[in-house]
Amino acid sequence: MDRVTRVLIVDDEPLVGKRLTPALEKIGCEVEFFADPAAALDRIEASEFDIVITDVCMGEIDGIHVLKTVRRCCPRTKVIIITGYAMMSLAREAMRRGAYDFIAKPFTPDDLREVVRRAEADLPVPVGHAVDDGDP
Amino acid sequence: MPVIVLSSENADTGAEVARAVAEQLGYRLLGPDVLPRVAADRGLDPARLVEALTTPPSLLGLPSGLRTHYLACVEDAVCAELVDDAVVCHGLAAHLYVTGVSHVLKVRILCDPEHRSAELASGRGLSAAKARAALAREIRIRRRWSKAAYGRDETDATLYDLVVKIGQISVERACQMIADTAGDRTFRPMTYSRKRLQDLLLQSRVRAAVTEQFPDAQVVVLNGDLTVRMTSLKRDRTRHEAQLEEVVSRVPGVGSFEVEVLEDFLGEAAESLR
Repeated sequence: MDRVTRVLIVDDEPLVGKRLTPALEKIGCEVEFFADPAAALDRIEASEFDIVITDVCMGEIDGIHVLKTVRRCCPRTKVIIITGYAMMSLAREAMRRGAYDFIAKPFTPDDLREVVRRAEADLPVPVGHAVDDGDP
Repeated sequence: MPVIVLSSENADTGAEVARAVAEQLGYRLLGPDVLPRVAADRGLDPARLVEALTTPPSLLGLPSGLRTHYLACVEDAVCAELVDDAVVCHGLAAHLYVTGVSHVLKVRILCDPEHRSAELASGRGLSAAKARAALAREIRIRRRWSKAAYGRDETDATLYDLVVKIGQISVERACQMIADTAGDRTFRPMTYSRKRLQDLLLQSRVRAAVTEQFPDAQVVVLNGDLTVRMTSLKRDRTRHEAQLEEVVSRVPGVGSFEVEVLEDFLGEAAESLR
């Protein structure tokens, strides 16, 4: 049985959640959206997600902070950075700190779905999750 | 996989390092040997193509409009190769026009000046003092060329991610340093950087098309949005706008675009004085 991909999205713009949540639920993801980065961090520390999608500029807690927290708490989680202020230096910093991908806004739901599909395919199997593939 | 772009004080040294890096990493090699094909594909004069890439503007040299068009054709050909990643590019000035792409690692190769002077002295039968003067002149010419062509001094170290001096550091060691740096996560392609390179490819493709007739046209592609701008005399604006739209619409890969032909006030003022 295919495991459901758990996705957390954090962006201080609620409209982003309204757009992206159904876009990812359409491909079978279980999505939680947070407009408050502090609440998102609490959730990340309490529960493991397969993929975290985070904006960068969110006031006091920025996307790089979210990235660092995820890398510390759940190294297997793929972090996708989305930003309207894409710059080469920021992109490189995100990659250096372990981001899976970096996407500049605006992007289409299809763009994001493609990245999420790739991230799903690259996810390591979580510890304790049995995979019955017929092999001994 | 990243793209590696090498710029070198000396073309032969740059080529040697580029070959070694490409071999070590299993990457494709892209260098000045593609220029004859670029010239043949686009009906350009091969000698003038080399001149556009190497020689600063002068009164008796390539006309500036033609120079702009020839360089645009080189950029188009190079960007078309770079979008496929895993390539080492040298001798085609890519360090000057491939900008803002985070998975492009730009490397500057310096040569030991004493060693290079000795090479010039023995190769051209010059005295040591004349060889040093010839070397200094070579560097001045490259600086003038890069400033004239791209508004940037290619000897400025801040243009590069890595600067390596061959001499105390062997070619083999330099190759390893470049390969190690290219393996860093920082230079991994990502959606943002791939799209940026796609933007540059479309930009260069359209520039190559429009500069044949309109060398002063400015072409910008940002997040897939294409804008072409130029100035014209009032009497020519409508005609030039139509001609530009016609040329741009025929470029493969172009979707929607905007053409802005603004009034050339200086030109109008000059006309009115006649």
